[in-house]
Amino acid sequence: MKIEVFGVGCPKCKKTEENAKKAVKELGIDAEVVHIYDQLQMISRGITASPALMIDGELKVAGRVPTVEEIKKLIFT
Amino acid sequence: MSRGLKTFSAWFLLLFGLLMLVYPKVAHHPLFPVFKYQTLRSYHPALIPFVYIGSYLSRAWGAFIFAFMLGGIIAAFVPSRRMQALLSGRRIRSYIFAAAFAPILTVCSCAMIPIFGGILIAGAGVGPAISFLLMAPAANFLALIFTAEIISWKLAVARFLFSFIGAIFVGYILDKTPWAKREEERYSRIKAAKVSGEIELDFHMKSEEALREAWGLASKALPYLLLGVAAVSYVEAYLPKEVVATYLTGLHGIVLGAAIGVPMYTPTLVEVFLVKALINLGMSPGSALAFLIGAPMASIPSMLGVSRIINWRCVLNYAALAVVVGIIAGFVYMITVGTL
Repeated sequence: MKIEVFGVGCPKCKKTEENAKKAVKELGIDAEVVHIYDQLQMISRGITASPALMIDGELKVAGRVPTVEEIKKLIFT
Repeated sequence: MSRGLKTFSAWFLLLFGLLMLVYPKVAHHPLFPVFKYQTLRSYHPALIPFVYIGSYLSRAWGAFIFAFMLGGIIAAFVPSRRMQALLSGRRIRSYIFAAAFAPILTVCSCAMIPIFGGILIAGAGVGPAISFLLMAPAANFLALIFTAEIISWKLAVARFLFSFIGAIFVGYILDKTPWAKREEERYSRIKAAKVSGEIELDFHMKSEEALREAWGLASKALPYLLLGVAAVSYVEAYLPKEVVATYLTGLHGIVLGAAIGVPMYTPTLVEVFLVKALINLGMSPGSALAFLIGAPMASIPSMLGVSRIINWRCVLNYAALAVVVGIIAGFVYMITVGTL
């Protein structure tokens, strides 16, 4: 599983990455969390709000910080 | 903290801040004694920043609470995605929406470039995207509240109106250039990603989010703001009045006011305090308005960020035009209103 966090280096974006890593750790699953800072790549992939969270290429959250619990639920759906 | 208490705190802070902001104006009597800025130089140099910051805190703490809490509430409650969709409508309309929504869509400056890109890929074109980009820092509601509170409401209204007209004007002109057309083609091929399986937030969750957003906003802005205002305190204490009177008044004062802000990057809101200090030293209102519009519109960090998305020719052109907008605004203000 691949979890991508899109951010512009703001505190909210860092918090999103932290929460995603925590969710993965607590679930004990095999998933990779990457943080993409490049704005051009972000826009090329159609993301227009930050922070944003993508799971396996599907956009799940945009424009706010999801909680650890929320990310856990999103991983399972 | 329980959910009810968090919801209550968010809305209580908003109302309390508003009340503290409005009370001295209705009662015609400040909550704390007003500081005399002329006495600033009589303090020990090491004490000046503290005296200065203290004087502002005692005067504007209501505005601080209100502005940051309002920022949180807007971030959590305003349906930004639905508003973004409106920006991609018919061309002329999207210019107006872009400039009108920019002040509330960018409570956090980190939202600026993603939304800018969003307007591009929605097919509205480079013009409305630039209008949005210029309006957001020059006239966001935080900057306007502080301009009204620290300087004067007349200047705040002028800052909003001239930024609005100027942003639309610069966007419209830039849209006609061949460099903008090239970008438009490049981005029109991209499709916006849709959020799938999103969780609906209820009122309590949104209020909680608002409180978190407000705290995030304040904790991000305050350190820079305090440092910035500390630096401004020395400007006000030691910059000779003659220098300000020579360079920042009259016609050339307006031109200089609009242009000096570009290399002199000031963190969020610090520009308001700096201009207030310069006004105390004799800067003319027209020059002040030119600075408040030119500096945020054409700041170098935002130009660097945007240049990742659109080519340098577009960036340099909009920045040059933004300085012209600042000059025109200052000039019109000087001959029509003239006073603070």
